[in-house]
Amino acid sequence: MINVEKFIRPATVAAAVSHLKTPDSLILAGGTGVTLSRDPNVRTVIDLSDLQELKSIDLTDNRIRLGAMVTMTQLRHAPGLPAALVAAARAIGSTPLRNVITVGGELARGVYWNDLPVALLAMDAVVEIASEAGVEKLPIAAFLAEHPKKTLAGGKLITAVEIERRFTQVGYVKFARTEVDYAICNLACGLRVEDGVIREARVAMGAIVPLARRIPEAEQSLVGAAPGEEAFVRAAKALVEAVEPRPDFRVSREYQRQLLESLTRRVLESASQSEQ
Amino acid sequence: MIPIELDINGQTIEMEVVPDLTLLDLLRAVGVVSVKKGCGEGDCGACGVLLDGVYVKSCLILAAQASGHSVETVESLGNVEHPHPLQTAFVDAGAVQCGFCIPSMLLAAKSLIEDHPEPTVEQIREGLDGNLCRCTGYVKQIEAVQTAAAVMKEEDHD
Repeated sequence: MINVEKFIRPATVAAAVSHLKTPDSLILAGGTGVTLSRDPNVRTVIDLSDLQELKSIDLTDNRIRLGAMVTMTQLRHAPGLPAALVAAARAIGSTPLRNVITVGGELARGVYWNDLPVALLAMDAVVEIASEAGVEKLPIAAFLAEHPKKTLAGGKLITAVEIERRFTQVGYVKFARTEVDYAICNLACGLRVEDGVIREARVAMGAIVPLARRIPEAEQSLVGAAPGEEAFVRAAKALVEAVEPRPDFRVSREYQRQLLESLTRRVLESASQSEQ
Repeated sequence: MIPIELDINGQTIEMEVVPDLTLLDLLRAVGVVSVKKGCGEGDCGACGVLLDGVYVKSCLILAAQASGHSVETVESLGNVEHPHPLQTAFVDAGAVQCGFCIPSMLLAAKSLIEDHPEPTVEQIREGLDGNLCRCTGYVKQIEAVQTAAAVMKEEDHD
């Protein structure tokens, strides 16, 4: 913020997007990730705090729509949300941080310990993005195929996240040294179970990988199986074989692998006991 | 320089600030020194304030961002002659030792009691999870919040 010349608080999404054209602009949502920035290239700050249209949670039939400025505290206490989403929101930081951290910020930041994107990957969420060209909707896996900075380059602003309740069972786990610490490992899963058989599966993880992503090998091992210990153990082994852990000064690679195996089983078990 | 206007403990101030000035540094510069700069990067929670009634860390809020909003610190909670039930309960329970973390912890407690008038231990632990205290070990403060919540509920009934 050292060379900032303009501090803009737009009243509409269209106005916010119009200011994003210049590459020296920075979006300010909750601020926990950017307030202390010393980036000398930032000249314009676009403060989204007046955009009331981005602050609501809308539940309709089978769909959930989260405005990009919805905070983790709102997710933590809103009725009718999937337990895995609430658990991911609760896993982030501490109360005063959850009071300001936003859905859009969690997605745009792209740091390895992010919690919310992992849960959203397991629910096939769709990210709504506005730019001067109009509004586009991107499946979250495509949104995270590259670092969000690249995906959002060229004046794009996250405006909402939409979730269709396609999965009958969803789960989320975070492992960290303390409740308020960054994740050493986090995992989420979504299962569509019909007639006692897993028809569709999503398994996503973060922290041990540089950016949250799905693990197709684990997903494929679950499809067609009955939910239960046998299938979950197999999926955990498939996940461990598929993932090359990121070096982490806090824990050894062996520790990461053991952690991944137990947490995969745990998240699948917690999902299979959940009610969507 | 960016022109700002904000309400601090009921008083409106207008000034021009540099863009990277945090709300924490602004508050201390205008004499609201109950707000402490511990880590300065969002970990310790000694700089906690209520921004439009929401408990936040003022080191992670820009002064420019706070413009148009109201800030409440422990200065507006109570004083030695007329302490707030939370202040009385913290002193009575022995929840205060060095005192560095206490002003913001009182605000966190006020906020959590507003959300949960009869807080459980679990709710208190979550509500205070953004405040590091190196002296007391997080036991007496939980007792103090429960005591204060009961007193505040009683006063509400009167």
